[in-house]
Amino acid sequence: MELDLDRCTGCRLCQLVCSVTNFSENNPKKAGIRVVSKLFTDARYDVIVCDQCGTCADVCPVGAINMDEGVVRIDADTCTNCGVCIDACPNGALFSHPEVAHPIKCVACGECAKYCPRGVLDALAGLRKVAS
Amino acid sequence: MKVTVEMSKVLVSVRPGLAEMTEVELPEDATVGDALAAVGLPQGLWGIVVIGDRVGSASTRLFPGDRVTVFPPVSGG
Amino acid sequence: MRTMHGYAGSILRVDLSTGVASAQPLAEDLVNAYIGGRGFGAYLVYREVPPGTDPLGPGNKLVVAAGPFSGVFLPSGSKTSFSAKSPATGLYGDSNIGGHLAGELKYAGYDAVVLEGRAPVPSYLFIEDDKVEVRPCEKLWGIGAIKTEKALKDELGDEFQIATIGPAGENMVVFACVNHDIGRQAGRCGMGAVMGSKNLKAIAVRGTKGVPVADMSALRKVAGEMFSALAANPALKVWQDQGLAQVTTWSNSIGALPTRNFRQNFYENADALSGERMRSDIHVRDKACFACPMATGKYCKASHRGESVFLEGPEYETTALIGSNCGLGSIEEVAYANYMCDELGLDTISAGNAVAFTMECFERGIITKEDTGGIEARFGSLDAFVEIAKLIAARQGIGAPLSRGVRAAAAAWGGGSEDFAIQVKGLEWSGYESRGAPSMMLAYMTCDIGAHHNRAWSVTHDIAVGRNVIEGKAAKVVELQHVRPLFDCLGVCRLQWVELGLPLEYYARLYPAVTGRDDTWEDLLLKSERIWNLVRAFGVRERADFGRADDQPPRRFYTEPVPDGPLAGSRVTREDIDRLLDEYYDLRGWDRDGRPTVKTLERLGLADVAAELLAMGRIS
Repeated sequence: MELDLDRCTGCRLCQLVCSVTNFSENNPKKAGIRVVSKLFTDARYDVIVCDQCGTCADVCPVGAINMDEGVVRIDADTCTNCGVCIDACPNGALFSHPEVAHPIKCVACGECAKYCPRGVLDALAGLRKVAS
Repeated sequence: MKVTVEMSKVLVSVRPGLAEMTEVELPEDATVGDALAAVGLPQGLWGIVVIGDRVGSASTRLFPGDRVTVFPPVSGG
Repeated sequence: MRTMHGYAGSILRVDLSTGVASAQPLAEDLVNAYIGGRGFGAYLVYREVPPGTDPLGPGNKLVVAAGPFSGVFLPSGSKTSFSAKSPATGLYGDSNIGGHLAGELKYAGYDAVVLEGRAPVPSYLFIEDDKVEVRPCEKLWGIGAIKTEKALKDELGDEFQIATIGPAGENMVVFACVNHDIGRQAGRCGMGAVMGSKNLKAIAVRGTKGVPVADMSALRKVAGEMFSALAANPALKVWQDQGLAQVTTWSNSIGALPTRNFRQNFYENADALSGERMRSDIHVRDKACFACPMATGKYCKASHRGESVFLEGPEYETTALIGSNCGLGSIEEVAYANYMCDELGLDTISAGNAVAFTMECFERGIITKEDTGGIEARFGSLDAFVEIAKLIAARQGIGAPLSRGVRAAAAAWGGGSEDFAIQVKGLEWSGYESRGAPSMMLAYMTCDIGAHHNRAWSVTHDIAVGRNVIEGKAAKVVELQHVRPLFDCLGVCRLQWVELGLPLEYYARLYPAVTGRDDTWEDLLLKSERIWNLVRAFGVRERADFGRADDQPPRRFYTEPVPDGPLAGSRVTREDIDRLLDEYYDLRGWDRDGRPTVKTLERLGLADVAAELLAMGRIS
């Protein structure tokens, strides 16, 4: 998945949109996406978000994580919040939050991509595969 | 050549009386500045100009059929 | 505790002397009367900093406040206000800052932080949700503002939002600023000096909570419309391209660009300082404040004498006050000087103004190379700028008198320099030379914190109505002095409205959606007028002689016509100044000496303030 990172301005609207859409909250830390400033070192921003690679699904000890039409989802009822998936994620794209009993990850809803003022996230919307 | 000068809604709201859309006849090598003078918009009362989707300035050369959209002056913090 | 929609619901008080922090519930009365942000700052500073308090002593209070729109799903809810008694003016001062701090304060659970006393050793304030600590940090003292931010980010993590001061703030230069997110500043009024006087090197905050809003569905609808309207605006691209740097060319074309210490207002080299040159010569990346599509921040790279630096900037004000005002030759030179000021922690507006003043005094022989320690302080010299800025930050040599502001430096140097110390109330004049724009002249004269443009910006009003017209212009200034600072109370940036024409109706609809309160826009404007008068009352209470005499422009502007450029010959006259002020005071319901009347204060719900001033014999 190629995000157009060169265009990212670090505004973090994506985090806010994710929180509003998926948690009905104004809380950028309750989101499945993060913008990290690398200005000091590389004069750029990084976007940390799930690319639905499925590594977390492979390592989950209780089988709470499964692929569903191209999107890797965590079943909140099965998850024990053990955090193994968070450590295993190669992108660091699983996030824990004190008020949420399971890791938060992107489910490719595509809302952030709609709002990104620079079109950085268009590739995310394409990850959801519609069953034919 | 014919060029269209369009006042943005914002500009019209702060300068009532300006025609929203005017077609002007200009020489072949006319600039944005010439177009705005042709519609009588005083210097200092326009700020940003967009031609199609290109940003321009007073000296930007125009081509037949160009649509010049005019915005109020920038305001500063 | 009942939920206060739009607010975290708490004010954090930190006594730096003892290290004790306590979170107090946000009072409904405070919200109802003062909204948030600058409103909280004005109220708390008025109430808690009595007349005669040393602005650089432990009795001053620094209020750092977000507003109800901060951190919420809407365009650019990103603004924090810093308020205190100003060491530059001895009056109430505030400065707002963009970046990503405002929301983070609320996510941590605080609408405002009130900093009191003085830490016994250099310290930084650590806030992570409910965990609040005053942490000693002697190793950071003396380090540049940007380097300090990097050090704290490295230690605490990128999710912390950090505000810092540089050596200028540590040394209490009266125009020291607060830095954040590399290149954003609370620039004016010496808020960095107040932090330095409290031995407070930085504030670091991270929060994990959400901001409650009254009607999420309505908010999503209004904010969605706003984001769509912005995305569809053809002018957005210009802002994304050049940010505020585009103002330079326009300002020069209309004879408003400060040039050589405001002697001129048209700079022959303005093209070399243009937004286009910024973009082509030094630009690296666009940089945005929180949730902002405009991304007016320009991350740039500049080199000077073999040293390469990165900075956010320069934007218009810095380009005007350091570039044309000091006669510099290129945008890259301005950028390097900008970087120096940012690291030192100096407000670029005041620093540019102060260095230009020094250059004029030097060229006139009022000060000499002996005074400057060998620096050839001439217009056009970047080296001179850099050397003088360093001395100001250190308060050494020629920097010592300058570090107290141009008004103080002129008093020290004499030689008629008071006439061209370009300031009002002790705050250096910002980026619009206004001898050809009487309403903007009035705006600068009557701006509550001193000569700043961010309250009433009315240059185009003068162009539209007629530059020679004096009558009737005060009304526009008063109107703008209410609506523009309202955004500083709401904790949201106003540029989407001001520059891109996003209708004010959107903000009026946002207010009930976020807060659940039924204020109309007019109700909010009345609160802004209340705050304006409270700030004026601070001055009246502070000094028996505060009034009309503090609203005067520098003598240059009514004795020296503009020498050249498109507005050659322009100036205001003493009669103009008096007519403008008379009309302004009448409209405001103040007496002809510029003091609010009892009737006006009572109309604005400030009867207790009126009683206080009456008892002191300051008003009648």
